[in-house]
Amino acid sequence: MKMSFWERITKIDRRIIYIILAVVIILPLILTFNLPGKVRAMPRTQNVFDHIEGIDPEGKRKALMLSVDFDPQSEPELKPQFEAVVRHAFARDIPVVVLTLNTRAPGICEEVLLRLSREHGKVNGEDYVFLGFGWPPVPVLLGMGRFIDRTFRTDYYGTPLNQLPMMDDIRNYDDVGLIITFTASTFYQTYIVYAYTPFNVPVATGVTSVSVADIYPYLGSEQLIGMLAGLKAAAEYEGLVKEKYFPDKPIFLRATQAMPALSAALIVILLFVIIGNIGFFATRRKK
Amino acid sequence: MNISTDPWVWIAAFLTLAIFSILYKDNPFYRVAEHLFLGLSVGYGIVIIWQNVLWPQAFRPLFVEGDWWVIIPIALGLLYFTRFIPKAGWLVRIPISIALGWGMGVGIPRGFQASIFRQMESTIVTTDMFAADRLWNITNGGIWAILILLGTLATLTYFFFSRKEKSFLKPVSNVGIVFIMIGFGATFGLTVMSRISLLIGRLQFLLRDWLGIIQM
Repeated sequence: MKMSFWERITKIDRRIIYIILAVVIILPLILTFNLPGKVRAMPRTQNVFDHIEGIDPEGKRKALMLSVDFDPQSEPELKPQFEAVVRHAFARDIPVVVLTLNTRAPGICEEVLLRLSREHGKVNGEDYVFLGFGWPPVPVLLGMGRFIDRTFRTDYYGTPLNQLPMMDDIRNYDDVGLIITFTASTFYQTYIVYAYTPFNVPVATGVTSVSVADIYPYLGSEQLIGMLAGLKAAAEYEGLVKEKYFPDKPIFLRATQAMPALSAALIVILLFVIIGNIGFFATRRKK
Repeated sequence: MNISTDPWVWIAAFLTLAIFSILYKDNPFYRVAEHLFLGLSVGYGIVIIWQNVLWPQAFRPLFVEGDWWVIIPIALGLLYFTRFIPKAGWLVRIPISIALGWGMGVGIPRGFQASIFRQMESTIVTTDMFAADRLWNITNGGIWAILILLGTLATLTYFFFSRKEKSFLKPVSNVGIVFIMIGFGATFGLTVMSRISLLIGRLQFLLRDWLGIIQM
């Protein structure tokens, strides 16, 4: 029996859709196609940037604490966010304390810190400290509110924290200007409950796009000062940092490069959804 | 084109392609990559836990620094393994009850404060939200505050299952359905965006880090 056009459309092989999507993503990446204008920072991203701008390295030397709580599955969305924030902190000479609550994240942290510290001339123990993996989360978060050096006795490389010059001024959350947790899970809630609520330390989060809708209530209640939402927020943050601190320096901005491909893919998916729905209603009417 | 000479990049590229091959159909390359990932994750996790938690927090203080008091938490932790000994299995209740009691004592007050009281507080509409300069502000403006209040009440009404079918709550719960559907729609759109971002990340790795086709 001969199928109508709309019947053929609704029964299209999914592998053809995969190929179309792959082509639509690969072409803008290869052709280094740029979208007109620039990626505009959303207020929730701008808030994180502005807060870090307010951590004054000339006044009391407050640190930026980055909790890298994602694993390789979420790396494409969250690693560019983490990189952009570290670059911002290095550009402003803010001490960076990095830790992780995920067993599969230490390798990611180490790779980013080594690469960016080389790029910006920063020294381990003086400009940044990598505390390593802490577990279980609740005692770690509560413990750091009192004494970081009793919660993590050594850094990731086994050096006692009292031998790291940067940690002389950073004893607990009183010396931390902002905590950002990069997570594909619900660690932002853990930080809200066990760091923000008892110790009143400002908390922000960097999350995958999937989690965004769940986080808006915490922005409305001002328990989070801001949020980096998915790959787009990473591109927004990369743009903010580059524009202010490295306008002429050639830096590879992974998320910014991905934006044309992301836009093209989303337009194609929108078309698929529209065509699929028209096909569904057209074939249903025929039946 | 500047193909990578790093063998680790080649291994990562091969495993990426092996995982992508499931899109065509199930095959041995996909299964090898999947099992390798699971095995490596567990092995890596054990090493990290030993290196970052057990050794610096428990065994080094005990055997190197002579902090004998850590014997207590270590002993409590070891009691979990009594589950494997039928006659001593009841001892597992000790660490479980301590962990539960401590967890509830620490978590419940803070959980209520952070997740219930503050969330209820943020749905309260105040007169200063209607000042001209913040009326349309998306986080604390009057218009959005009313919308959030209506959405919260309507959605809660939808989940009030003991209502009568023809009560006045029915139209309110219908409004709640609209809010829930908008929430689902937003979540679906964000999920699509997230998955596409992951695909772009892997393609960037293949095209830039492995094949060197794209540079900046």
